[in-house]
Amino acid sequence: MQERRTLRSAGSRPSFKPSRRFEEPPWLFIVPAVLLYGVVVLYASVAGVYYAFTAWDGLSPTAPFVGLANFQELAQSREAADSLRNTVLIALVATVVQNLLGLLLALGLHSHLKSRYVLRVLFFAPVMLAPIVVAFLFQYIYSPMGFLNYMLAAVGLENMQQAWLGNRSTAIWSVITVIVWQFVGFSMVIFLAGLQGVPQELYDAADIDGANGWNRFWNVTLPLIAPAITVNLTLSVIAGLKIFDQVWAMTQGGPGHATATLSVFLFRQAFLFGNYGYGMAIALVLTIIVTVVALIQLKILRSREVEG
Amino acid sequence: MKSSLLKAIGFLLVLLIVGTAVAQERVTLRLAAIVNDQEPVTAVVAEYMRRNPHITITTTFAPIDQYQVVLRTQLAAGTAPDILFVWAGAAGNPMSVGLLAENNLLADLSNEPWVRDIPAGVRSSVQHGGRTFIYPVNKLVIGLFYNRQILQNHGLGVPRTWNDLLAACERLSRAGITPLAQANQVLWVTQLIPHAITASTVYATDPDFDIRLAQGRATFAGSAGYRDALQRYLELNRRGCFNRFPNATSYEDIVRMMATGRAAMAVQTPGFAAQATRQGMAAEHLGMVPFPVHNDGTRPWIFASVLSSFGVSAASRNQAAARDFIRFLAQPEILSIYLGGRIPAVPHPALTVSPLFSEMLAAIREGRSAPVGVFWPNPRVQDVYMRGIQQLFDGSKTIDQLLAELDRIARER
Amino acid sequence: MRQRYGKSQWALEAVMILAAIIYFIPVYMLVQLSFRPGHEMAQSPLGLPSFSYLGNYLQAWSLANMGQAMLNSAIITSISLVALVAFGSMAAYVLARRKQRLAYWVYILFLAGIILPFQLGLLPLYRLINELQLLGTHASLIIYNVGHFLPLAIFLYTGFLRAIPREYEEAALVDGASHLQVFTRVVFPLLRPITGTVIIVAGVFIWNDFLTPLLYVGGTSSATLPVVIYQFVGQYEARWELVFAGLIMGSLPILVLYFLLQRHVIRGFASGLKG
Repeated sequence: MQERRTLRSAGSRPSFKPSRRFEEPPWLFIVPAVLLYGVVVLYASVAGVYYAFTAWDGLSPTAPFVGLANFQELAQSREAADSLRNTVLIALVATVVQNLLGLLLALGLHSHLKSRYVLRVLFFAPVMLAPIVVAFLFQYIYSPMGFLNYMLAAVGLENMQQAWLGNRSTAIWSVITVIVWQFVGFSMVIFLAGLQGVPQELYDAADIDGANGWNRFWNVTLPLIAPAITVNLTLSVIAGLKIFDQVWAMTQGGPGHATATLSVFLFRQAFLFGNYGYGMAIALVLTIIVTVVALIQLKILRSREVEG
Repeated sequence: MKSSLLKAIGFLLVLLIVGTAVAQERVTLRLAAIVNDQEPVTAVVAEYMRRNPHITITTTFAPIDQYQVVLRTQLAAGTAPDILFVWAGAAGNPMSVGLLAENNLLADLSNEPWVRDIPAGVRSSVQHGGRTFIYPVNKLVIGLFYNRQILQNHGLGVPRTWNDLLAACERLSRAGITPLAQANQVLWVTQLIPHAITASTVYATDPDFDIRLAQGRATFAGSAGYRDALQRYLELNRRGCFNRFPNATSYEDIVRMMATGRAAMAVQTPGFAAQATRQGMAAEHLGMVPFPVHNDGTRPWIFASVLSSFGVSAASRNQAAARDFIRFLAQPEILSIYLGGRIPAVPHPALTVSPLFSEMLAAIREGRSAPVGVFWPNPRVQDVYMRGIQQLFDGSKTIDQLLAELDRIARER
Repeated sequence: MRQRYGKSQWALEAVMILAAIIYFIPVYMLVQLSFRPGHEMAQSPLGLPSFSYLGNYLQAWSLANMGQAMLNSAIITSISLVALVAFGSMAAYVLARRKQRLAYWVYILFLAGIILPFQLGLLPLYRLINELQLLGTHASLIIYNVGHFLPLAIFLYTGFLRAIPREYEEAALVDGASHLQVFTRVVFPLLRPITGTVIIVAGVFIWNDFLTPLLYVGGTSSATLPVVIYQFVGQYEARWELVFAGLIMGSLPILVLYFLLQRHVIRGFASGLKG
């Protein structure tokens, strides 16, 4: 054991670490993770990408290779453009609103309120509900005779009643509201964690400088929770761009295509219409979009973290 | 040190293996179906296992969309269940007999004894290339359900003509009752009324419309019957026949509206009756008639098509047992368990149909029925139709635009 | 440093509680509907539930045959989480401590797993699981779950580890401990808070997952809770009171898990953010 360790550390360890005895953990530790991830995600996804260049229908024994034809078709598809627009709208609005509300809740609950522990649990609870539960529940709430219209009537606002999920101008906003409702607790918990990492001394110092509440927030709190902002925005943008379950269970992308996202488009093409190759092409494009957005976002956010 | 790592990995492996062993069980036959048919399938399977104690059948049920995803994946990987629920028709559904047989995924059942009993009108729905691949259990019909009591209370008879229907709409809506409960938020429900109308306005005179459509010899835009059906659909909406916001109304909503007497009628399929009575509607108040289309006394055609059908996977290693199960299912006494009073696809004198469906049955017997849309050329046509109807209702599409789009999609493979 | 509980504190408390009440209305409705006899469903949506009426729960439990399914879900979720935590934390330890380029790129490769849509690998993985003759077994889902959630686990663990100074590990190594001893006795205990986070976040998704269990273990005695509940929901679609009762029972175990892990979750996120 002793020799092996010496041998291994002789080669590659960079010299900037002054400690003479510290050794890096063995690569062996990573083997189970690499194997499982490599097979379940990497191998399977790469094998799946192949179909994006075929016209396979999902059933027949042969998958005719068609080169980039699926991508050309995708570029001209009106439905793809509509789905992309809906996807971007959902990801953008849900991310912004969910994180703003999550931050406000975190600020409110990062305090000595007597009810803070109970409230933290209440706001996090919806994160744990299965998509089908959320969909059922909100179909009930949004129904023409449902809770929302009932409450509007109860306060004398009958003329504000809407076909919430059935009208092309309100459907997507109704869906976004549900997504925000379900995941605002997730953002809150991450912000709360970030806030708990801000040392009290910094606030005390700011108080001595005579900073008001807003200045304290802007100059002390915000820079220090920058890592939490990065984690939150990255995860919610990725989840928003890939959103499927909530949309499919609530509206199946309707009315018409008013709430169809790229994932819904992919699902229908690959599994319901027998255009498996085309569906995988959509999956590949979705991957590229999410990667690019996530990388740009990380770059911007990380640079802000450094400034802060 | 090193051994403790091995121990840890060994422990996890043991956990995995134990988990595997716990789960494994001797399985003879596997059967998969849509969840809508869970109750009758479970009953039939239980009866089969009671009479054949040496055979075990395990069942899977899933909602239609998930069923289609899972079954297509399993078929592609060669792991499909021995007995599977298959849709009738050529290529209009991702799990239709035409598509599966075309890819040699179903066993040829042409030599089974029940094949000769299949009526001529049903044969094309269960065959591909002249060979029979599935056993059809029941006929799905679309008709007008009504609450007898509500109609009587408002001095109305059962609507027999289009004008009757419009008159009933007017009187009922003035009395604050929804004349027709309509759940257009649910895609499959959107097509029920136009299917009920086009059965008379298109298929009564042109039964091969779908076939000619697939061959490129007919178009939606060129069909006066389709245009008329969609115009009438919107007319019903304009005249206040439907509940408020049909596009936002779910199936559960209309079941509840019907069960609580807030709606008087609904255009639906037989399953609706069971759901409404489960919710507390008195069965004796419920009636069903063909959707009234004409004003001149001509009797309407109805939509009727094979729904629940079962085939045997070509990859099944239990062909004989799977075929035996289907032969078992095809016996009248077993079929009657499955049907529970619904209309059989293969008629038999020993099968009794619920009086609720007697007028629908009469239409089928007299040859006034058509499997509207079952032979559309690809699954996207139906999708465009259903979503297009939602768009007609929210004003984002015109009838002409929808018909043109349907023709464009029908031409694609 | 403590502020006194003055007027502004009470005002904030009132505002937060009000917000929580409005926010919680949907969940309250879910619960109260599940406690109503079916024929009362059409009444006002905000009435008080009669919590003594347990009929829907009893009926849903027996109709959906939830006992076996809950056991399967518990076995699959717990073994998946144990393996996920063990493999994820060990891998993250290497990735956080090694300074080579390779470690960085392996880390990036793992992160790609958060982005890839699962549909891309759905069919190839299914074929592989079939060739390994694992269909219908708990193992198929455990392998899938661990592989699928390793990226998230490694993302969280690595960020957390980078914030922990190495001095402890160095001291232990000086004392002659092996790397595995250092990891199990020194590093892993320090990771407890983030482990709580990994368990709850991955646990929620594993517990609620539907499509993959349907594909791998549908129709077998290994079927999980969502598979069984979906069948139940499809069959009783118009009986919301039963459906909601079934859905609530299905969510209870994960809620209990969250209550147990609650402290770890928030602290875990806190320390994990200093990467």
